[in-house]
Amino acid sequence: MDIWISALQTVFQPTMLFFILLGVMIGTVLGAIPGLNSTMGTALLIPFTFAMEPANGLALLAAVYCGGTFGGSISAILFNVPGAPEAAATGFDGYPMAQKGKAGEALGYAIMSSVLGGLFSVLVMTLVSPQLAKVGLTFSQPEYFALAVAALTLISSLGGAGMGKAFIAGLIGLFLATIGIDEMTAADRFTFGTKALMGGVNFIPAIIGAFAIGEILAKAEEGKGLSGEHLNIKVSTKLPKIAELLRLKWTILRSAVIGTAIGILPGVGATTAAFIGYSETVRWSKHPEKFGTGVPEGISGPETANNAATGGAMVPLLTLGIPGSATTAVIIGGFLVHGLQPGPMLFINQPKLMYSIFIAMFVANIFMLFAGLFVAKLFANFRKVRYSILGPIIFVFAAIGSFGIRNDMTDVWIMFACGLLGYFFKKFKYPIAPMIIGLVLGPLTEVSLRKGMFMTDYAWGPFLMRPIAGTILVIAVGSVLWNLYSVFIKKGKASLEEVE
Amino acid sequence: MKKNRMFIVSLAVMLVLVFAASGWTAAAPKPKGYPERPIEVVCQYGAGGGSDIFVRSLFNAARKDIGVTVNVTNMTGAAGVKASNYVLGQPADGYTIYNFSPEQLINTVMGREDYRLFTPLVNVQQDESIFYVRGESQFKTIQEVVAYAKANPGKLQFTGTTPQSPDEIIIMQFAKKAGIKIKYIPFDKAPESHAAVLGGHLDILHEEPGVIMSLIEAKKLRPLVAFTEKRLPPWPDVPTAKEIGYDITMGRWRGLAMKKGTPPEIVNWLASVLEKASKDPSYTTIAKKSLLDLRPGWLGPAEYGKFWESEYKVYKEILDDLGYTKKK
Repeated sequence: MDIWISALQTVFQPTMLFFILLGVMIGTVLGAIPGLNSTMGTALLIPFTFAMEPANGLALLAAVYCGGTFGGSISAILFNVPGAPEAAATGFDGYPMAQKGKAGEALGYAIMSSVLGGLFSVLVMTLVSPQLAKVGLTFSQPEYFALAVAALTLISSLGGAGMGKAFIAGLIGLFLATIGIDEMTAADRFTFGTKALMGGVNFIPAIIGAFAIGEILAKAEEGKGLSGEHLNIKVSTKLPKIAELLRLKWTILRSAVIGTAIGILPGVGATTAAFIGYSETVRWSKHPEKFGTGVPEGISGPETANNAATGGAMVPLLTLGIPGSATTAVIIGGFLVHGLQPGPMLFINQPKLMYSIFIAMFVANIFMLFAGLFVAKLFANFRKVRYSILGPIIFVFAAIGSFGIRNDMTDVWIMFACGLLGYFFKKFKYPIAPMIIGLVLGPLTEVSLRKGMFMTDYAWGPFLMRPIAGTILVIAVGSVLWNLYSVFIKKGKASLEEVE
Repeated sequence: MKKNRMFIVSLAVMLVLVFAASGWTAAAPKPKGYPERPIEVVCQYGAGGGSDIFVRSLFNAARKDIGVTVNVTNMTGAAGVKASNYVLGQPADGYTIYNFSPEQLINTVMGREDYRLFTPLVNVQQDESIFYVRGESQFKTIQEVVAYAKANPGKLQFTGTTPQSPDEIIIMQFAKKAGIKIKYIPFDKAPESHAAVLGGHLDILHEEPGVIMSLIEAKKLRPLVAFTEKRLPPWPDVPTAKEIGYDITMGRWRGLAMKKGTPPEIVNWLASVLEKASKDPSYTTIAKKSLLDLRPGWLGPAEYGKFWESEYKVYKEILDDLGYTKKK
């Protein structure tokens, strides 16, 4: 108990609170700008934390992480350009809702869901970190494969009218994911002998390109909107009322649990959490056909899950020194610059620091409510900017951001190529989301299957007959079959009626 | 107020150091007109990783002697091929330094790049390769592991970072010398391999101790054998591979290189500056925390070049054995 009190004293000091607020603000802004994200933000800030007290520095990094995971949803909702990969799923329903003139409500749902998801995961992390880390370790390749398949099944419910088109888009994404050096055998695949493609298709520039550049090209072609489609549209963020939130309670609770759980697993992070959060929201919804048209559940589902993954990802980092996501992998550097090695011994040797980080993340999630409102308001102003000015600005940021990920021009070309792809997808009415889902989940699906099979000497029995993996796979495959069945039954009936 | 005083004190210390440094006669003279603009150090691994911390802490210590800004650029992906390509695309004028790793030699064996296009600068670190099992594992000694593998060929599962890596080479070299058949399951991200062993999904982990110190101290991972010349002080009970009859001493080394054609006076001057930096407390304290002070790693430009050649031969032999190079 004493340790808690002294940790509280550490956190509730003006400098510490200032750094947390600063971190959340930086994170939210970086997240909201297409091309910049929390992984990059933390990497850039680590050298500065060198000169700070360890607790302050780590609180700052954790706050950037929390803010950055939320920030992407702002631009996803307002401009259909996910500012960070974690927010790709938030735009599925967020943007349609904004197009209906309810951008303020959409932002409100995103903020509230993020805060609740974040708080839930921090609470879980504070209370049962060591136990959860143990559970996370029981996950092996078959479980990862089952999770990936469960998330991929989302494709079957995303297509709306054309499931066939959704599958084609998903397959393109899966194909793009195979490019580069293979993780198991180090063979070059589809690199066409070039060194540029050896690094594979990074999904961050691909997401930026497919959504942002695709959207800009499509808008440019429309022409008419350029003169000021967004002029005089005032967006004022409205937080959802208690009654509205209560209606989302199962969505939020489900996604909070899913997000935290996914975050804990070392192999997957917030982006996957958001996709699975969305797909489970659709799966258990009474009206799955309404998703993609701007329903609150479609925002709340992924947005709760990705922020819940932030707390989840800290669990294996703090208890085992194993990062649960790309950003936490960078945060390890924040420990190392102070000569601290995250892991079980840190809990024993520096409990005060650990508890301070827990409390700091809790505070960060509360600050996110205010930072979210503030930054959303700031970015909503851009809706007043003429698209002929705003479009090129996004274009430039998209290029800079893509380059910044690995300091590599290839990523910029990949971004543009995916932009063209995104444009043609739009033109021929193919959904973009399945392609992104395929690209993000492709490596996990393929590698976990191949590794898992190699470990069981290519015997299906031991691979599939595992309680967690088996259950997830049965639910996933069952719901796809159900989807297909209901589509064909409806089609069958419809064609029968036509005949009659 | 306190901050101010600190600032003045540190400024004074810096000034003293600078004057002291200028008073010493360095081994190699400073080349004329070099350096006059910022130097870029290219690291092919991500921010916060072992190699990144190595270059940042070393150049942090060398900064005051180098006299210009040193920027570290992380250029990840494709086992360093992209970063190598970038360095080779820059002029050989001494303003681009490369964090050279064993992967460059392996990539040469695989025909992806050519290490001979670089000129060796210095090697700084020699890390320790160690095999571990998880705390609850049935294996208490490395002999038990070998005996089990002989009784159950192809059953035992080893893990490390990435295929065709120094990790795989050392594991396979061990398997060859011990006459056992094992499986190697690599992960692109090292922490995932730690998790797989901790969770009991894979049997044996290859890793350098620095990154998993906390897990070793907490007895969640148990070292079984070290591939070093002598037993390591923190684990006096852990035998070396040599002691039990497998003459393998290996471990990841971390050094620096530049594009071939860089003027020798620049190479020599940088080497002497870096040698001094490698003894600077601001570097050694960080190295010590990751147990990088246990094996002498320092090699000057000429020795480092010879070291590349001998390492290349070892890697090629193992990779040929593994059949990776067959089709080429």
